[in-house]
Amino acid sequence: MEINKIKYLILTIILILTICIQSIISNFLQYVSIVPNLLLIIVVVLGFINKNRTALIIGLIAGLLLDISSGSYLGLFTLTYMYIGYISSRFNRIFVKDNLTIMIILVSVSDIFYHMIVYTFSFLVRQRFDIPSYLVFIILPEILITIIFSVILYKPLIIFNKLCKFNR
Amino acid sequence: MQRKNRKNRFEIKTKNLLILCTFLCILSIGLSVFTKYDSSSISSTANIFLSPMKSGISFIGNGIIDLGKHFKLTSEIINENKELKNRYDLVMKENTELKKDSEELFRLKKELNMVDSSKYDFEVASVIGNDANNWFNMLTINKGSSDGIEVNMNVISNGSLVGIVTNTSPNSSIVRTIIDDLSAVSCVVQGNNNLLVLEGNLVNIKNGYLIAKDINYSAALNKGDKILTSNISKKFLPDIPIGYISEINKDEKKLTQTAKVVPTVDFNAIREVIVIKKQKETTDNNGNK
Repeated sequence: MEINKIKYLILTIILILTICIQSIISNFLQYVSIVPNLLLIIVVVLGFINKNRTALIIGLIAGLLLDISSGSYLGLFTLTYMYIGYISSRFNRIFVKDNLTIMIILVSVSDIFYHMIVYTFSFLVRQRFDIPSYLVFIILPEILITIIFSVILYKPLIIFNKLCKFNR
Repeated sequence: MQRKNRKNRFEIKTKNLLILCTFLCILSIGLSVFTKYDSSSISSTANIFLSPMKSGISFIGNGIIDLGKHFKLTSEIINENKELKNRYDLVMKENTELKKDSEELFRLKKELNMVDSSKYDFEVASVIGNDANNWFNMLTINKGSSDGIEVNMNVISNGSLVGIVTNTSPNSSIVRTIIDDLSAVSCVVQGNNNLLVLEGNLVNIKNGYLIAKDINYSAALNKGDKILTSNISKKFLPDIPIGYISEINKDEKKLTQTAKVVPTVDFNAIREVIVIKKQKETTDNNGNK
């Protein structure tokens, strides 16, 4: 029980740091002006290589932290990330673990899902219907840069997972 | 067998946990949609803890970037220095002339009792974070309510409007920039005082401009006209420059015209901003202060 608590505490700290980095990273990627969704990468990768319960809790913590730090509807991102984590953990029954291609597909699909949620709740409700432009200017670039970062972060996250023994 | 029992005693099934959390989240979302419950107090509390971390990370990152800049070729810097010195001479010359003019203006205004006693108070703040999301254009700055910053104070950079403070916590505040999709600023065209509403739009700003709407059809606009905040705006102080008109489109119905406005501030590269510590005094419907 004690070890479990420490594991999730470490995870929470890392997720908080990720949120901070994600909100600052645009200062350093000056010529890109699109922010990669690092939090999503962590939730999907750790979700995919862990049991569904752990994945659900990781998603829950990540979403809750994002909601608290910047959300307009408390609970919206919690719900989104929780399901993203849970569903990606379901996939490790079907596919072999440690597969980068599956990971990239999962990351992009869940990024699209995330964007659909954000669009629906903060743009569709204000009657903004310019979906093609949003697709070209925001969603596709972000998916691209998120995929690049997920390739970079994939191995470190697997090592982190082994160190923390989440899959036990 | 024993192990199994122990497990069952402590843990809820994962599926039930999922259903429970889903239900709680939907309840919470419903609360924030249908009631007037405001979650900004939660995020401002969270920012008390997050902002020191953000400023730490941005400090380290900026340090790395600055270090990279130090390796710029020395000859380049020398040339630049020469150029800047020349420009400095020119500016100084201009400055003395302007000072003379302004002294005269001050004297004349004094004679006419028109001296504006309410000089603005400033607070310099550095940007420690943007939004963690590509859909919004918010800035986090490292000064908060303990430095006297309040919601609805105007934020400028390089003398041009950046945005407005929307949320404060003791050591940081959040600024909604004028290019955010939710932003709308009432403005005038310098010179002919035509009123217009400048709306932020996510798609247009990716192309580098803002859209000015509701301009009188008969208003004479020119490319390059300067846009300032107007006097009738509820939250923005008057006469803060925003940008320049780059294109004018007449409406087909011949009622209004729209213009594309290029903002002066480079919103991708803001490092420091100035908060004007004065809120606009607005009157209520009865005309009372």
